[in-house]
Amino acid sequence: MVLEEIKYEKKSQSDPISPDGTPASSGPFSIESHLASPMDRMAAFIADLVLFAPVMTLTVAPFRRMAFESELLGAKEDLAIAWLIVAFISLLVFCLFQAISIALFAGTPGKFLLGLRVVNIWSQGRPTFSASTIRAFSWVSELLCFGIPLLAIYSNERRRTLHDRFADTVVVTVRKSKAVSPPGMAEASMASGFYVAIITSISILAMTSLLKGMQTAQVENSALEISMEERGTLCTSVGEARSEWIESGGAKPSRLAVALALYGSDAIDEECLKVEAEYSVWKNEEKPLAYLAKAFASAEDDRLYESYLDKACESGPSTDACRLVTFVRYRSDESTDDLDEKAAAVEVETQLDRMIEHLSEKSPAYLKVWTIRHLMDSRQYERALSVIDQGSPQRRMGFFFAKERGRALWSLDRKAQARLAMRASLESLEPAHKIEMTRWFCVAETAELGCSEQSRLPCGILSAAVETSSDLLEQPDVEVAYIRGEICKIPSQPDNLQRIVDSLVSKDAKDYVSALIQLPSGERSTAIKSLKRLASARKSSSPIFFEANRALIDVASSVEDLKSVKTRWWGLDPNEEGWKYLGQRLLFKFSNLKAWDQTLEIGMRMVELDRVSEEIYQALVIASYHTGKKELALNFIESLPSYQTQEPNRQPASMDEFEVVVERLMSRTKGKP
Amino acid sequence: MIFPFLRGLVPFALVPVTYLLILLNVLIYTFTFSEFEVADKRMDEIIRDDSFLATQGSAFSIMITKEPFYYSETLRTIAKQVLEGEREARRILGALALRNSRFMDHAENYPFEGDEVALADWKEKFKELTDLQERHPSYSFGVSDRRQEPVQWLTYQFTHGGFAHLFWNMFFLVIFGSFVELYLGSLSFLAFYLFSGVFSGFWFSYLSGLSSSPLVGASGAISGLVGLVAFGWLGRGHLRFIYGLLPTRGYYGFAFLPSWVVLIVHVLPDLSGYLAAHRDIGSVAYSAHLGGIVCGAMLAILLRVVFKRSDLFVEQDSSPRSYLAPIVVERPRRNY
Repeated sequence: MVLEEIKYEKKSQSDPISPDGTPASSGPFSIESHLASPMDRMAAFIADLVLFAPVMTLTVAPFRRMAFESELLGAKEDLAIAWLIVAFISLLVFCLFQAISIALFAGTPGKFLLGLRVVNIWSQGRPTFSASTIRAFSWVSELLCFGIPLLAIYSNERRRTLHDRFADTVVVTVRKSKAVSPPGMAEASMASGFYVAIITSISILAMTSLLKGMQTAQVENSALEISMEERGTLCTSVGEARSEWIESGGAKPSRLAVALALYGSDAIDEECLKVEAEYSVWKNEEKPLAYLAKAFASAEDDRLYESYLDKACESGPSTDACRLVTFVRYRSDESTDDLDEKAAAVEVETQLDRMIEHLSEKSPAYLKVWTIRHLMDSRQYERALSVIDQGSPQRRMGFFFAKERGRALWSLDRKAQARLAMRASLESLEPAHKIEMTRWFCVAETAELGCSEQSRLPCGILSAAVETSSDLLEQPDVEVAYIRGEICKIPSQPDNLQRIVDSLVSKDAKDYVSALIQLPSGERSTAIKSLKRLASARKSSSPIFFEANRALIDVASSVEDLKSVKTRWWGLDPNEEGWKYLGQRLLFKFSNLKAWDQTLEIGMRMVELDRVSEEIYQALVIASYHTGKKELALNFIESLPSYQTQEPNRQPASMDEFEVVVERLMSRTKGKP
Repeated sequence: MIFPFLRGLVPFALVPVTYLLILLNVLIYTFTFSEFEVADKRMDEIIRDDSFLATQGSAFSIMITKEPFYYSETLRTIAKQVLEGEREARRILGALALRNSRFMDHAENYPFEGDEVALADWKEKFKELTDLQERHPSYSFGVSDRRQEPVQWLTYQFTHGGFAHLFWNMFFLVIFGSFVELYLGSLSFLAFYLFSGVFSGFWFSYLSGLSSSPLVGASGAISGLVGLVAFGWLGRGHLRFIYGLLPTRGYYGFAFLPSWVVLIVHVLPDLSGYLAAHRDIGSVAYSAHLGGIVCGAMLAILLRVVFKRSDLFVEQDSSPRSYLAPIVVERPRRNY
């Protein structure tokens, strides 16, 4: 093996010089005038591949079968090993084929097809077997280095790549007309350029892969868990929750019961529930519950949903699963006028009462969770509280109970208690749950009471969390709550909104805040136009939609301005978080504008569908009075839990409008027999 | 790419049977096309339905667990994975069930237990699938474990699974069929072609076993022609090949190579495909191809060794021709 390129003496340019300085014996042809062209060599390689590939695939056939079997069985390690063996054996066989062909015939079939030969550079005879073997293996190594060393074909004087130099060979052509000259400057420069480009690209790729590898090392554990879940084995979260499940006497609940409880408390997603349900149902375990879980998991397909709910009740109406089915079905029909359905609703309520009575510490967790959900959805907050207050020892459901408690107290107008409950729970909550809790309270406080001392705590905690981790702003709900919190800081920090525009993620949020900035300035019409666009472009559950409508209500100066907002609000789903707050704002605005009919209209709908606050009742009393509906006004007064119908002991001038109205109504009713 | 070109496109007058066979194949495909398309489309929709496959996988796993002796080790292992809750395994087993004749025969009335809603849905679609199979040309004319009437060993050779399947088979038939017919004569060629098709079908059923997926296609018969060419012309000079190595002038054209190159290019891939294929899966009937090649080889040996008719295997004119030169084909003289 001589790696150093052969040197010439000027006198005899046609004959190469041996390493010991003596002229080599001349062969049948001069090498320089018979150099094989790179294209011929590439074509010969392709021909060899075509002719030899069937032999290679035959030798690795058993391992390919092994690979298919591993893939079928999902054995990823075995699959990787099988393919590695296939690759290794293929290359080995190809090397041997090259080595033997070149040693015996000075060329491979492909080379013969193109009229090429591989000859020893000194003797111009056939290379030895050892040289051929070295040549073949180094050729494969060059191929594995992305073929970069093969570029020497364009730069070396005799177009000898590394494998030729290792083996002291050169590739020549027997067809003189197809011979090429040694590479010129242009070819050599091109080869050098390629070398630099390829090496630079590989270096950059290697650096970026290394950096990425360091960053992703942290998430390795969760990736493994996700991979297990993706394989379709049982839900890890359910397994973990079950292992730490605290039971007051009796055996641990089944995986499915745990999954249903976790799903109801939003601790696992639908996919997780589906996996658990599938496992149970095909094992014929807890079929009623499994069918119920499958119904929840198939909620998007109405036909399947109803079929599964029907199946859940097949074992009898007194099972827990069937009772829950009744609640689920009832919830979807609650605003009916049909008499039969109303009777059915009464029956459901009776069942619910019985179930709540029997709920205790020993009751399955999923039963409590879904009962609470049903009661909260049907706005029976007092009853929901009675179940919530029974509590749950399960750590993973702690957030659900804390959140629902806060919501129930808030909805019952016991805001001080709600705030205390929130503060008490914050310390024990995980960061993600803390964000959710403070987000909810920040929105609730600012929506109902505006910027106040009480809103400062939840909004402040949320702001601090966002300042630490701006990724939180990728969640639209958090983004909106953050904006509300920042708006409250304006009196002390006038440039706050401008500061936060760049930190916001969604375009809609940025447009919304920009519109708020433009409103007080001379660009009011542009701002209102932007708000109208955001208020009417409804994406599913877009919080900015609600904020834009709120802002339009605030800037409205006439009933006409509020028409479109009212139409949009009327078409919303009352279960949406923003429905109630938007309705309140609309009602108070109509009331301020003395549009009594509209005030009554909005108020009546809110009373019908939700529990309303004292302030709304007061507005409704005033509106009823001014529209001449005095009986209605008196009914509303009686609905007020806190109002005492006692003789006012203040001077008329010091009473607010509500008190004046009530005074007049009371005095009129006293006069009646 | 290196491919046998042999005589290329031979005029109809010299090789009428080859062209008639091609016409017959095309006509049958054309007349059954609409039925094929409709059935295929709906079957595809059903099979691609995730919930159908998943439920079928669960059902199949129950069957395998109850009667494990009927099924291979691989299927039993996958069934176990399904029962452990692996979703991917359910889909895989659901797909494999379609190729399992025992499942296809018994599933409709089998007392499966589990998700009754999903099973009811699955049963409906499964019934529809089996009805479609009854109407599908491939199932009507092909050979499967449910249909093995004598005529089906012939009709399967003229049925194809799609346009690409038909196209490539006819392409090979033009090349090899015209060549063999030129030297063997039309009647002999026809007899051998049909016999080779039947032989390869039997060979397939012996080596790989018939399943509920039907065997269709002319490739068994055509493989017989390939085998005859490869072994008949072995040591009898060179055959014309067409090659294309690079898309530049000088790197494509015709070459004259020994007939054993046919063995490398055609026989070895089928052998390796057969060895690599898994019994429970696989779409190409490699063993049918091998059966055809064995049939062709046997005939070549019979003619050359037993009947001493090596003169039938006349070598092609081996003087190199330019690819632009017209190829004049003459019917060779036969000494019988």
